[in-house]
Amino acid sequence: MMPLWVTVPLIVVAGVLVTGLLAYVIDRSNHA
Amino acid sequence: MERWSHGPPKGGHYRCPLPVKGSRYTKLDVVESTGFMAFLQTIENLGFSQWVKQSGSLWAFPGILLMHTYGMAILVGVIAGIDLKILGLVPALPLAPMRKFFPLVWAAFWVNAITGTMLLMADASTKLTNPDFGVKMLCIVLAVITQRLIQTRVFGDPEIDRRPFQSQAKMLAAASLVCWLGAITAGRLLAYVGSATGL
Amino acid sequence: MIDFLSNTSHIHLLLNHVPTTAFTVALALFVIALFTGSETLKKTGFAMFFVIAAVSIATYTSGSAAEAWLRGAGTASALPAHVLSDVIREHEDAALWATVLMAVTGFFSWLALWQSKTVRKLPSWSVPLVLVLALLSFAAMSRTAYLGGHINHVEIRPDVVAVHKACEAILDEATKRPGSIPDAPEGCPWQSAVDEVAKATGTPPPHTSTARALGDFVIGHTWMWPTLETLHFVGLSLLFTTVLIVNLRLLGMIKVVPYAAVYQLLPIGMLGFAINLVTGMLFFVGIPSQYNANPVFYWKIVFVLLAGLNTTYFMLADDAWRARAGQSAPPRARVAAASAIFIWLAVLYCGHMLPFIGNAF
Repeated sequence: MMPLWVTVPLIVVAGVLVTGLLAYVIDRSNHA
Repeated sequence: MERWSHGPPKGGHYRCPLPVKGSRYTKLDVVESTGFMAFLQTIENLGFSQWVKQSGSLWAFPGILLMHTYGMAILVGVIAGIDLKILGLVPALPLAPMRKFFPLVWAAFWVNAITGTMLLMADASTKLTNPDFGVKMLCIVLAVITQRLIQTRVFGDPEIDRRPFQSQAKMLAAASLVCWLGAITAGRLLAYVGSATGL
Repeated sequence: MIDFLSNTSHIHLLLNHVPTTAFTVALALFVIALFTGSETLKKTGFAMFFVIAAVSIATYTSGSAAEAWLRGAGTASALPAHVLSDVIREHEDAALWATVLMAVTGFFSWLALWQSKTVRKLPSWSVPLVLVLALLSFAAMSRTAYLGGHINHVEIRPDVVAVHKACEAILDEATKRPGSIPDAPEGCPWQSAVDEVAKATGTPPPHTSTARALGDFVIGHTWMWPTLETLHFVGLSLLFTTVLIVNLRLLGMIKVVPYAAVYQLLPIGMLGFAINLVTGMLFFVGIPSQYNANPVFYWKIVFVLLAGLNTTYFMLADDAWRARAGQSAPPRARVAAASAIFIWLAVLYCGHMLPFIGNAF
């Protein structure tokens, strides 16, 4: 059981990376 | 369930997991209130701090935190736009005119510094013994330094918008985003980690 | 009037006409647009899908509030005798999927409209993709509506109807040949049919909806709530990136930049909104009671809907495009820009005040 201050930032970073990937994909598709 | 703090334990005894400057604390010792802790308690017992924490007025804790939230939205909102632009996400948008937003960014920053101080005063002994608060402050210090560097090095470049951004600029932009993300995450976690749940 | 508006069942019954009736009209228009090839009609379809998707969020949340109203505030359930819990869960389950599908349809409709302004025509992927999504959403919404009807209309519930029909058959036989059936019923009240069905389904564990399962996951793990909150802040920061820069430009800041340039920021804002919609829905299914009973939450939804209308204006109108490099935006665009900033500040206010006004949680 990981402490809260590890789990939360981990998942937040994962979420942000996924978002960043989505943003990148949308951005690329606009300038294809 | 009120999410507001209930103040320090009676008698001022703390289990402090980290050494605190100006005190006789060592790891995991139960200690008496020392000079530093007594000072924090004095801050917390000020009329103003008590009003913020206990009054129940919407203008107190809720209102101050609201201004803090608005400040964050403006500060991080504009900066994220600038950083994402430097990272290449909005090619059609020129960067140079964005410097007109700096006054707004710094105004929002100072609103947050002031409201943050007010919130800190109301909860000094809990926050300042919470390592997560230290993390938040560190992130903000780094973010501010990064922001100044972006303002001088990136916006100060005479070739701005005329050639692609150099890798130094992109690293600064990425660092800025990471620091603000860290500040937001650490800030939100303040309600969940650390010593006795404070504000 | 205020009484009527504060009855959440009423609100739900009003709003559920949007993803059904209005959606039917929008879909019909869209299909006609495909046959006639009219770009204007296609864009109208996209805009309607977007608005319907926005309203569907309110339809979903009001549904939860309607159930809370029906169940009552006490510990003992106040559900009327003819209403079965299982049926509500099934409807809620269907509603969640349908709302998600509708939101995806709305998102791609918006994206199509957004791209059409820069490339001067609707992108080629938009029509087939949105058509498929809209048809799937429509099927999901229809099923949801069908199940919703079951909640109060016992006379259309297949299991209840089966019992009722059996009773009527016996009654019919007994009337035609009197005395042939001992203990023949004198009538077939619907409530008895409901009671019999309730007895039959009583012992097995009640049907759990996806919403309940999701909600249990959210509150079952201590790290979920703070994570969702943090992501909610990330989303709102991205949203404010767009809201501030685009609208402040229209209000006269950085006039040297044409609207066409800040226009590129809109998908970032929409991405922020999408993050907040997902995290928000997870909060909502996690602890619906702290939102159902909170008037501040209703105001938040109202302002989000107003923001949706504001967005639709920018998607359809050409006013803002008159703000070329160095030029002011026309008055209507400036009003829309100022409204946008006000509306989103109001959304932020409501969201922040949730624990302080209304019911503290």
